[in-house]
Parts: sequence; C-alpha cells; structure tokens
Amino acid sequence: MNNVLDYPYLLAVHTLCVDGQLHQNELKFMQSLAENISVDPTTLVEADKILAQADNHLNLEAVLQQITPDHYPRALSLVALAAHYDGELDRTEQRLIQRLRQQWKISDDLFTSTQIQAHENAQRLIADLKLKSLGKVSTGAKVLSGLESVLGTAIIDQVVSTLGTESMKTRIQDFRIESLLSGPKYDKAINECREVGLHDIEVTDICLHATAQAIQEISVELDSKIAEIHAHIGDKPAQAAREALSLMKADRAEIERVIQHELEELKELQLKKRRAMNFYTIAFMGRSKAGKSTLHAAVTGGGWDQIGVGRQNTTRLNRVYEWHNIRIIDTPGIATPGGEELEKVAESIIDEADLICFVVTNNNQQSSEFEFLKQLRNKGKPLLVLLNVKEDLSNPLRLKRFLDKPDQAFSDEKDRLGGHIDRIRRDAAEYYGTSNFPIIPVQLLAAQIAQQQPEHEYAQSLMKASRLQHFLDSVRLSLLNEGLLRRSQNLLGSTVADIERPCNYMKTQSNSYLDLSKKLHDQAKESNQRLEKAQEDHARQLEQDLRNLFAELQQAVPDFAEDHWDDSESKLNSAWSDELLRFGIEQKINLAQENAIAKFSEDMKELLAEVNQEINLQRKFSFSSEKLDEQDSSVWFQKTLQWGSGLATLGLGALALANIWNPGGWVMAGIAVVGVLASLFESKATKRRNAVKKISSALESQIENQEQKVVEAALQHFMEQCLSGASSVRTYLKMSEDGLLFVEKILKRGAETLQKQSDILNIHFAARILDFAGGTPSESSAQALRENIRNVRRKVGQSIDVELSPHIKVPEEINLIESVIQEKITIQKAGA
Amino acid sequence: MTITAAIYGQRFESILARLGELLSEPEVKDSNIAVKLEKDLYEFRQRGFLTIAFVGEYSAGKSSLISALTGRRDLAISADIATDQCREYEWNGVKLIDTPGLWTERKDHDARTYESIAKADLLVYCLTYSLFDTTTLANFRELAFERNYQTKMLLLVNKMSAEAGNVEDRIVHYTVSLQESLGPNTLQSFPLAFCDARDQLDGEDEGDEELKALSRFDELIVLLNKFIEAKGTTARLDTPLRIVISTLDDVTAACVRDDGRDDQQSHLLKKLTGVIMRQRRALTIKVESEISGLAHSIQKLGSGFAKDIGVNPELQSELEGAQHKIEVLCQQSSDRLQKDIEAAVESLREEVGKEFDSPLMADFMASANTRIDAHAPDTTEFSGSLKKNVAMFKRIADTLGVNASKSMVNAAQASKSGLATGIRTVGKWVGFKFKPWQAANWAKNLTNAVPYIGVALSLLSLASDVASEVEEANNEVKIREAKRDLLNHFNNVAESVSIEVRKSSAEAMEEIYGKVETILSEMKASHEKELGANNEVVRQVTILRAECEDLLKLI
Repeated sequence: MNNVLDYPYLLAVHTLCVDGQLHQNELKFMQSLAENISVDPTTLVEADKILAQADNHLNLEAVLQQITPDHYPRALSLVALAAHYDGELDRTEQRLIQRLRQQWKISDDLFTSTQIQAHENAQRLIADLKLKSLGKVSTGAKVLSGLESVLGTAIIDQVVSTLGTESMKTRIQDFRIESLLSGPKYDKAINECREVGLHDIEVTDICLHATAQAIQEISVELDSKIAEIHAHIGDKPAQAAREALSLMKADRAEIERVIQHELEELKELQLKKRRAMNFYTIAFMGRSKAGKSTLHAAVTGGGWDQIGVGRQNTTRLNRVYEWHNIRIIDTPGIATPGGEELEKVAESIIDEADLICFVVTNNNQQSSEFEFLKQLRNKGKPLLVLLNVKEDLSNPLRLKRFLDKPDQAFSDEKDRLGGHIDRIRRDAAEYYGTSNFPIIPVQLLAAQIAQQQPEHEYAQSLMKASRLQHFLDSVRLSLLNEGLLRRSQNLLGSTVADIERPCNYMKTQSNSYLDLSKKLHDQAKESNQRLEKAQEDHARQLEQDLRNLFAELQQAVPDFAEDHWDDSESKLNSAWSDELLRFGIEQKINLAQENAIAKFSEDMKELLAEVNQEINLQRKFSFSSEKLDEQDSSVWFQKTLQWGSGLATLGLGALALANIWNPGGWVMAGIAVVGVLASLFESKATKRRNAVKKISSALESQIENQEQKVVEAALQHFMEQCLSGASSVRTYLKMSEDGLLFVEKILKRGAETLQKQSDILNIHFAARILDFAGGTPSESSAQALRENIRNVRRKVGQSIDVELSPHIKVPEEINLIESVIQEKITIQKAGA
Repeated sequence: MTITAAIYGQRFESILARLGELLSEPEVKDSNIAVKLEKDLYEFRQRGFLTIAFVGEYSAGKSSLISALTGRRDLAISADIATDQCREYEWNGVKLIDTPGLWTERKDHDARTYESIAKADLLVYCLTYSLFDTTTLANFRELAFERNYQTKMLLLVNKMSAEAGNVEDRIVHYTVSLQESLGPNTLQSFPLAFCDARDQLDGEDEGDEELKALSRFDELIVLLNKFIEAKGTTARLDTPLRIVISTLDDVTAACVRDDGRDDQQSHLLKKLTGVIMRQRRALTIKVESEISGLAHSIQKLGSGFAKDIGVNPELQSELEGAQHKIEVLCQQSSDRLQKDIEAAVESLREEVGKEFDSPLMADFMASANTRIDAHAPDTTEFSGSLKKNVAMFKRIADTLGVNASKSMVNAAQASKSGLATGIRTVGKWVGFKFKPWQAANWAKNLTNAVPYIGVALSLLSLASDVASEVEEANNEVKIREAKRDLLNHFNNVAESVSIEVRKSSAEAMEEIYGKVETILSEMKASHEKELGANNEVVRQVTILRAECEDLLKLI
C-alpha cells in the first residue's frame, strides 16, 4: 500500500510544517499543487495527518526513507517551492534544504537552479493570490472554503451547507473578522498602519543590522588578538604564556557560543519583524484546553475539527489565518507535560505579534501561566485576556440552566467569576507587573454551538449569551484606535528587548572580566612579594649550609698539616685531593643547592594553589551575593576548572626545573704551597713547626677562597633559577590579566554599540507615542518630535521615561496611552 | 491485624528505638527535635481515626467535594483562594482534612498543607478537567514517587461538567492524557475518579436528581469506600513512619553545614598558618646563620691560636685577649639578632594584617556575624561554632595587635586600639636581651681547662738543636695534643655560645609565633572534629531514612 504514496509530495507537506507555522495560504497552495500534479487520495489522507501532526502521521524520517534517488530532483523542487512559498527562508527551512542537499549529494548547479526556479514560482503564486484576494469580502469566503476543504472532507459538507443558506451565512459572518473589519474606516486604519510599519521597519532593520555587526566584530577581534599572541610566542617554549593563551581560547569559545546563538536569534528576528511589518497580528496563546482553537474557529469560521475533545496538546502547529492585513494565529498550549517542543513552537510567534490574546479558563490560574506572562512582559508585548467561562452546554440540562440565567455565569460574585477575575488581577500585578489590561469573559462553547449548529433553536440567544461580541469589539477597537501605535510597539519597542538581552550579557560578562583581572592583578603583586621573600630565605639557608660545609672542612686542616708536613708538593696535593674526596665536598655542595631549589619550588607550588583557591573562593562569594543568572554561573564554573588546571601545570613545570639542575665546576683546585722549604739553620723541630703552620695557613686561605667562590656561584645560580620560576608565574598572571582586560574592553565596546541601537529604537518609539497622543499622527510630525527628544530611559514592559526639549508641548492624553502600550509613561522637560 | 502487619510493626519499633539513640547524640541533643517527635507521635496515637487529606491545586474544588460528601454547607467555597487553614470533617467514621491547596503563591499555605499531609493516612489528589500542567505534575510526582504516597493516593478529576463532549468519551481521552503525562510511571496504580462536586451540591440544594446523576458522585463514593477498605489497615503505620521521616529531616537540617563556609574557613586557616610558618622559617634561618657565623668566627680564632703554638712567642699574651674578642663578637651578633627579631615582629604584623584585610576574611567575619544575628543564639551547634571561630580569629588579631576586621568597627576606633596593642606587644619582645658572653666567660680558667697549653708554651723556649731526638719527638706529640685541645676548647666555646643563643631565640620565637600557632591548631582540630561528628550523624540518618522508605513502599 505504502508504495502507492507520493512521497515527494508528503515531503513538501513536511516542509510547510517545519517552521512551526501553518498558513491558510500554504494549505491552499498544497491543495492546488495536489491538483496540478494529480496526487492520489491516499496520499492526501496522509498529508492531512501530517498537517494536523496527528499521532499516527508519517514523520519526516519515514518519508525521507521512502524517496528513491530517481525522485530526488522532483522532491527537491517541490520542497524548495514549499519553503519559498511563505516568503524568505527561515532557519528551519534552510536547515532542511541543506540537509537534503548533502544527504542526496545534489550538484551545485542543480541546487542553485532549483532554488531560483522555486523562488520565481513562489513569487508568481504569491502575486496571483494577492490579486485574487484583493477585492470584496466574498473572496475571503472563497479562501476560507479552500482552507476547509484541505482540512478534512468531513468538515466540507458542514461548511458548504452552512454557507449554502444565504441567511445563515450573513448571520454567522457577523461574528467573523471579515465583516467586523470591513469598510472605509478599516481600510484607512490598515493603510496608516502599513505606512507606519514601512518607516519603522527601516529603523528596526538598521539597528538590528548594526547589532549583528557589533556582535560579529567581537569574535573577529578576539580571533585576531589570539592570533597576535600566538605569533608573539612563536615556537618558544614559553609554557606560562601558552597556559594563559589556552585560557583565553577557552573563553573565546564560550563567548563565541553565546554570541553565535544571539546572532542566529537576531537574523531570525529580522525575518520575523519583516514578516510582521505587513500585518496586524493577533496571537492566541495559553494553556492546553483553554479554548484557543475554539476561539480561532469562532472568529475565522473554520477549523472546528481541529479542536480536541478532552485531550491535551491537540494543536501542534501555529495555525495562521490571514485576511487582508490581519493575521490571527492559533498556537499550541503552554506548560503541558511533555509539551516543551510545542511550547517552543508557540513562543516563536511572540516576536511577530502586535497583540497577544491570552486565553484562560474560569478553572484556576497556575503559576506556569504567570511565568509565561512574565516572558511576554519582558518582550514588551501588550496583552488582552480572554477568560473562557467553561461549562458543558452540550448537555441539555446545563444548556437549559445556562439559558435560564445567562448572566449568572458571568456573575462578579466572589464564589463565581468575580473571584477568578480578582485573583487574575492580583497575581498579574505581582508577576506581570501590572494588571492594566482588559479581561474579557466569554462562554466560548455557547458561541461554538451557535456557529456550528445555526439551525439550533437557541442559536441566536446562545451567540448573544456567549458574549463573544465583547471580545470582538475590543479587538476591533484595538485595531482601529490603537493599531498604529501597536505597530510601532512591535517593530520598535519590542525589538529593544531583543537588543538588550545580548547587551546585558556583554555588560555582565565584561564586568566579571574586569573584576577577575583586578583580582589577578592584586594576586600577582602579592605573589611576587612572596616569591621574593621565599628566594631570600632559601638563599640565606643555602649560604649557611655551604658555609657550615666549609667550616667543617677547615676542621680537618690541622691534623692534615701535621701528618703531611714534610711531604713533597705533589704528594701533598694528591693527599689533599684524597682528603677532599673522602669528605665528599662536591656531592655535599650539590645536595645543598638541590635542596634550596626544591624548597623554593615547593613554596611556588603552594603559592599557586593558594592563589587559585583564593580567586575561586572570592569569586564564589562575590557572585553569590550578586545573584547572577544560570548562564553566568556556568561560565564561572568553567572558569574555575580552567584556573585549576592552568596553575597546577605551572607548578609542576617549576618542580621539573629543579630536577634537571645539575651543577658542575665546583671542583676544588690543588693547593699551591709555597715556601715550605726550611732554612738550613733551623732545627728540625723549628722546621717542622714552621712547615705545619705554613701548610695550615695555605690550606685555610685556599679553603676560604674556594668558599667565597662557591658560595657566590651557588647563590648566583640559585637566584637565576628562582627568577626564572618567578618570572614564569609573573608572565602567566600578567598575560592572563591582559587577556581578560582585552576581552573586557571589546565586550564593553560591543555593549556600548548595542546600547546605542536600543537608544535609537527607544527614541523612535517615544516619538511615535507622543505623536499618537497628539491625536493626528503622521510621519512628519513624528519626525519633528524625534528631533526634540533629548533622552529616553526605558525598562521594557514596565516604564518609559522621556526627556523633551523645553518648548515642546506635552500631549494631555498621554496617560490614556499607558493602557495601550501597557507601560508607565513619564515625560520630563529638559532642564526642568 | 495480620501477621504481615505485625512484622511491619516490629520493624517500625526498631527504627524508632534507633532514632531515639541518634537523638541523644551531642550534635542534636540540645535541639527540641526529640520533644517534637514525642508530641507528634502522641497526637497520632490519640486520634484513632483513619484520616484522608484532600490535596491539590487551589480552586480544584476540594472544599466543594468535602461539602458534597459530608452534606455540610458551612465550608468556605470560592473561586479565589478560599481555605486558609486545614479543617477536619467527619464522614462515615473517617476524618477528612480540607487543605488550603498546594502551590499557590502563599508559601504558608503550602507549609500547612504539607503538615496535614504528614498526619494523613491516605490522600485524595484533586485535579480538574485542565489535568496536569508542568507545575502540578512536578508536584504530584514529588508526592507520589519522592515522598512515596503512590500506594496511598486516589486521583480525582473534578469539574467534569465544565467541558463539552460526551462524558464517557472524555473520560477515555482524559485517561490517555493523564497516562501520557505520568509516563514512564503508570497511572494504573492510582484509583481514578471523575466527578463534578458543584453538580452534586446544586442537585442536592435544588432537589434535581438528574443533575445529581450528572455529578457521578455515586461512583466516587463507591471508589472511596473500596480505597479505604483496601488501604486502611496498613495505612495506619504510614503516618507514624512519616512522622519519623520528618524528624530525620529535622536532624539533617540541624547537621547541615555550609560547604562554602567550610571551604572558606579551611582556606583562611591554611593561609594564616602558612604566613606564620613562613615567618617563623625566615627568622629561624636568620638566627641559624647568625649562630653559625658566630661559631665559625670563634672556631677560626681558635685555629689561628693553635697554628701559633710553638711558633709565635707572643701567643701567651694574645691568648689572654681572646676573651675580649669573643665578647665583642657575641655582642655584635646579639645586636644584629635583636634587630632581626624586631624586624620579624614588624613583618609578622604586616603580613597577618594583610590577611585580615583580605576580602575573604572580611566576608567570613561579616557573614558569621549576620548568621549569628539571624539565628536565635541557641538554635544550632553550627552558629555556635562559627561564633567561636570568629572569636578565635579575633584573638589572633589581638595577640598580634592587628586590626581584625574593618567591616566590624569604624576606622578610627580600629586604628586606635590596634596601634595601642601593637606597641605594647612589640615593646615586650624588644625588651628581650641576649647574654651569650656569659657562656664565653672561660679564659680565666684557660690554663686549668687545658693543662697542656702551659707545657706547650714553655716548650717553645726550650726548643733547640741540642735537644735529643727522643725528647724532640716527645715534645712534638705534646704540642700536637695541645693544639687539638686548644681547638676543642674553642669549639666547645662556640658550641655553648650557639646553644645559648639558640635557646634564647627559641624562647623569643615561642613568644612571637607560639601563641598564634596554638590558636590556629586548636581551630583546625575542632573544625575537623565537627566535620567528622556531623558526618557520622548524617550517615546514621541516611541509613534510617532508607529503612523508613523501604517500609513505606511495603505497606
């Protein structure tokens, strides 16, 4: 059975879904594609399952496996067309296409030509569609019927029959977006929105581009610095420098990882904002089973079969419904167990949305929902809460109870709906920072029944009792009255949050690098002093050991002189050499020297271990008090490890230095005994006494001489060893410090550039706000205001503080704007 | 009671006995953990009822459920957080506990709920048609699998009437979703109920039997009774076991140490010890090289004289001046040592002062301070030991006259008191005098000490060509012996001078370093002992906890 399926077509269907969005036009496109290439019905059934991401759908891997090499070119062109169809390729689509290219070993020529072809075809198709959809409301209905026919055969009959009865059709359409937002007033609003969008996207684009460039420069500069140090070290065995360099490389890798991620996000963001520019976008978000899909179906008039009965996670893609320049997007639920991937799909729409409609139920609100609201807030998104009053009206008994007292469901008594609204406001104030957003209670099921069963005897009263109209009114209001500012808020205001994120990362990082370099600096100074002292101590000890050695040797002199007073000179010399050998002077000198170096090396090791622990403990305590987020602490942990390993290796290196030290040249010279020959007139006793004295004196001064030389040379050698050890410690600390300072500097510079971008966006946004508050917004008046804005301080999602030139009049209605952008606005005059 | 139950009972008694022993250990003896255990067990024995706690997210309808079960209408029911306290209600000889609901932003509610849970024999976990979300699931898992309530839990989905669709179909779908959420654990081990308490309540109030039927309450009551029957007997051991486990938690909390602080303290101790060690070493080396220098000079003097025996006619008078020369050498030496020691004291004060100025030390002193302020003085052993350590660090600083912690006293005060103590201490050390020449006071007895010297000196004048060969040989032997004796004598002097200087220096160094060293080694020893003792208690707790959890899974 399987071999009958048209797998290249199914692959194209997967391509549509891979970005997590399913646009109604995409569905229409797949349908006409299916007609054009005569796809068999069995394949269409499988395609439906993929579009719904049903449990038993053929997944991407399964489809890929079934495609044989002879089908590669066709599959590739279908995939390319599907990917290009919704405009520019996003990263998921690019990844898929690149994967196919590699896996199937597509030649460059074929690949490029396929891409160009697909792009052209897609453009033509999009243009066709635009032509078709321009015009009257009724074409909207046509688009709609196309959408539904792809969604499933069962629903077609229902919709067709619905649309068939003219009177029913009008009544239902009353509650649809099409009729709701038609007419010259709407067209004007939409046109103004588009114009503002065109201007704003330009600014946004420039700022995002500058941000991306600044971020990219950071990695370029890090690389060139590392290359520079590398060249500087060359092939010299500068172990300390290498250690410091490897530390810096590890840091670069970590920074690279973060900024690459940010870059990707920015690229994606640019695409999203471009896409957002053309539409006024409302996204329905909320927990699973809250009623998002029901709401979506109710306002778009289709997709009822996408609604699950009792199960969680029924919506698995962002379903995009587009009409004129409005997009309504249904998303998968948040905070569902095992639904992390789906939640990510839902979150990906936030950047494109002008208004988030957060759907909750009258059951209870969980902290997970408020956590999500916090995320929206951080992105500066305005919010509208739809409170779905859930009751099973499919049961006749409850339906009757509901229709008897329709207002009871919406009662603001504490044990009914009122308690819920109180709690939502209270928790939102705490989590979201404000409860300054509309909460609109709707009985969605009543609206659903009324729309799905128009022949229902209570259809009309159910629709009224559902209060869906309240919701639609506020959407209309939000578009007609506030759409213009929402546009700017999305394109300018929210983008600030996305630039501030990497900006704050860089600032925090740069501060922590500065802090670490300071600590290193202090430690380096102290280490130096301590090593100097250690050198002094051990040198003194060494000198003392050597002097004791020579004093001991001196003690042997009198007896030697007595025993050898009348030896010949050569005999005397060889006897003294034997004496020295027996004494083992050379080994003893070497031992003393080795001892001293070993002790110094030990001190050095101990010092490095201490410095290491000191820095780590200090950082640990200063950080724990500052409460950094997880990302920073993980960087810190990596840092700890690097420090440990780097310094430990250095300590060992110094120890090895002591082991290979092998002194030579401490050989004692022979004794130059002069004038031993006695005078003829002296008695033998006198001769002997004089000879003994002369030999003793000669030996003593000989030894003294040697002592002086040996001590001097040994101390010199010891000092050299110590200095080289100390200097490797110094180099290491100094290079690490410099490296850290360099990273600090370029991160700071990057952060400053980013700060500038967010300032520009904030000023543009502030100008739009003031212009909007003035009542007659236009590009030229916004421009004039912009030039008079001195400064803007903003906490995205919380407050915006504008400083104006003294002569500019502050619009009176500025406070009304607060509820539109849901941020606190303060205006100050410069110099005031 | 069955035989198995009796065996379980014995195991429990054994655990309890060992817990009693553990609680008499010095680390936890002073706390009131034992008293709390007694009280909780007593309350449990007094109760006698089987207790079921209704737990779950807020507004899941716990109060409505109990209200519907007991027929009482005086429970506060609200869409907002309604229940503040845990209340108990009686139903068919069973006690039902209404809890405030878990995982609200009200942490005090959570604490109260967990207290009730610890006292309950069985749990009814309430969900709604929204089923699990990530938060509730994580908490359910903790209760069921971490805290081991899995065999004593009934899972209930309330508010069934809120969602549309055929009830039977929805139950199937809900079950699938619940199972998916719970994976890899299985849902089957939990009795599962679906109902709507509100329908039951309204049905009762309005006498609407149809509505009551929709509530599915009859099914719930059957399930609850079966649940109680199946779990009731063994569940009676569950509560005391939980009480024991919570006691073990208390013991762990009492013994828990701040690893970071421990590391910090060890590091500071190590650093201070290092400073003292290096300072002592530096001074020792200086003293020793001074001593050998002095000894070598004295020896050299001796060997100079020895060479002259039998050669230099002036030797006698020169030898008489030797004492003075040695005295001068000793005086010079002790002057230098005096300076060395003074410098060493200064350097010690400076180095230790630096340590006390370091951010880590300041952080340690300050944190110990806040910790002591935050705790009641007698709560745990830990704060006591921290306090002691800070006091000992301060004693070190006082001993050396350095400023213990800038963060604790204002600058003016600190420098004043620090300086005053410093001068006094230095004065004491500087007042110490060396008197090595006392040992060198020997030359008076030179002739007595070295009998051959006189002979050797007189021989000098006798030496002549006429002396016989035998005589001469004899004389040479005597001269050689005299030289040896003279050298030995000077060596002995050098030796006794060295001993004297070394002894005096050792006393000085003991004075300078000894006290601080003693404090430091005391601190190190007590720190290590504390760690060891705590580890032992923690080890015992782990063993007992494992046994409790084993038993919990069995019953």
